[in-house]
Amino acid sequence: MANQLLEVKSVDVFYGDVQALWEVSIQVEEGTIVALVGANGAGKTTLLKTISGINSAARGEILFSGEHLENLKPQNVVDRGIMHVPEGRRLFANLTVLENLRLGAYVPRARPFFAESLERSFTLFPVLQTRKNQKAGSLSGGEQQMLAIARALMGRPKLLMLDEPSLGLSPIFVKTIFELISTLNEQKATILLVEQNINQALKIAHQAYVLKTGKIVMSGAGNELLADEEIRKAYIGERVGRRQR
Amino acid sequence: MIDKIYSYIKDKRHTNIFFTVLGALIFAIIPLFTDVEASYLIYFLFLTFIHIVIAQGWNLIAGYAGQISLGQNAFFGLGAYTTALIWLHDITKTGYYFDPVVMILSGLAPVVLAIIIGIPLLSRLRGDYFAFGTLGIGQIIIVVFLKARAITGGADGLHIPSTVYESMMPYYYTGLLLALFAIAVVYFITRSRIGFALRAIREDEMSAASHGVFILKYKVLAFAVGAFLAGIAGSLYAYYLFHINPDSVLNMNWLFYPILMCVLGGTGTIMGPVIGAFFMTAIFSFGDVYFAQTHPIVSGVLIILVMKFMPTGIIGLKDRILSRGK
Repeated sequence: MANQLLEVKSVDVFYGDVQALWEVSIQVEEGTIVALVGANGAGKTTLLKTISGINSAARGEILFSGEHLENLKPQNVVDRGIMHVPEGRRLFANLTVLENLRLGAYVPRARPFFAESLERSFTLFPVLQTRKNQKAGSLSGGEQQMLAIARALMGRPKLLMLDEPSLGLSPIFVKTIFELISTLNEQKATILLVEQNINQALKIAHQAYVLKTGKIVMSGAGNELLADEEIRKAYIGERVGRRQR
Repeated sequence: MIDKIYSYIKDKRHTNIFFTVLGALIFAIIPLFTDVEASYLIYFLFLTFIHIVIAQGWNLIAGYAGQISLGQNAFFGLGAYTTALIWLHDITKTGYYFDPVVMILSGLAPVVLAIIIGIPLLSRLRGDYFAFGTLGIGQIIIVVFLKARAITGGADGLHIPSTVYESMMPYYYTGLLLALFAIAVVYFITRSRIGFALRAIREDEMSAASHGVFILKYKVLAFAVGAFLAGIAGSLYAYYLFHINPDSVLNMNWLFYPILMCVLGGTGTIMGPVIGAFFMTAIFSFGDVYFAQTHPIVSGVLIILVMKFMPTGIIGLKDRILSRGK
């Protein structure tokens, strides 16, 4: 088997008494894009939060380069090289663009590379350079999403987790974001992507998992799932005519 | 030479330092031109300095870290009681009256309380719930101090020997020093990585955590620094009162006035609490003199007016005037 960067094994997660994830297992191979898809409330965000240590797993294992993550605090998970771009971007609205980027490189392992990372961010997103002294809250939705991704890249992640990066963006920005994800992947980034835009997500994903009410119900290569009739019917909303027998 | 000084001051980073140093020099020489023992001005400034110290503490935890603490009166009172108890029980064998050892210990006792209470409160409660949780600290302390009569003297409190009093001079200068110390502490914390982390926590706690900021550590740190400042302010006030009881040093005014001063001046700015402290103490003193019976009403109306027309505080007024021209 190829080199697995992240392995989640039979993880159960509870919110109080309510079980949100049931024996979820996924694998993320180094250098690939892995998509988590599924309807609202399926547990995609919960899984990302569990990996990054914000939620804790009641049972199961999370291995990152062979190291156990399940009992680490968020700040320690980040320091292992997992950056999480949360849903809704969660920028520091009253801090400037530059300050947001500085916070991206807050962890000790990223700090020495600050100047280098900053240059890379500005090359990827020239608009951020022109707006570096503006408050993050004053940027447009698309620019904010760019900043959120740039901020995560400042942490020099080995694994980048993106939660709904296309949410609330105009179609043109959605396209830009997906192109960007592909570009990052070509530059050797490993990406775990949660998306409601299933069509787009499956197109760029090497591997994908379908979550339904807290359980993995299907998995496979992105293009395989994209071709799957069930998936098209259930999630892409495409009308598939019933075959005549 | 003058050009150099002028351009140094004009640099935004230096204006606060410049005005603090200038203010400190002016306040340092004021006693040379006034009758220190009789002047109301000296008492007014002494009271202002004490409030600056408490308000800066609250500014750090609430203004910069975004955690509304309602426990400053508990820490202030505990500081005052610590000073009295150390003195009365002859614990440190040092001079006691304006003794730095006693004053530092009076700051550290609230720090211990802030850490013990802060860890469970700050790890579990957020926003309003944290605020109400901290409000409990003052209530608990009041009850404990009232009941533990053998140690704290109950409702009557503790009397420290007032015969040592000679002059207002040490009060004034110690107050000035503590105010400068508080401003410096908060200034340097907020300029450091710690301050950066605190502001990130204020903006978005979860996001800060997922960027590697150890939330609880920094929140407790800010809470403890705020407690330390309130504690040493309490210690200085104990030297002034000589009679420490729950009514005087655990009074809710020690909680609400500093908060009002921060909000009026501008929370989350270094000079806001200072300006607010001068402004509020002036209003109260003025009201006390001219509207002896009704001054809380006048002060209240003034506060409402300021909040209505200057929601970002007096500091925020500058930005609003500057942006109006654009």
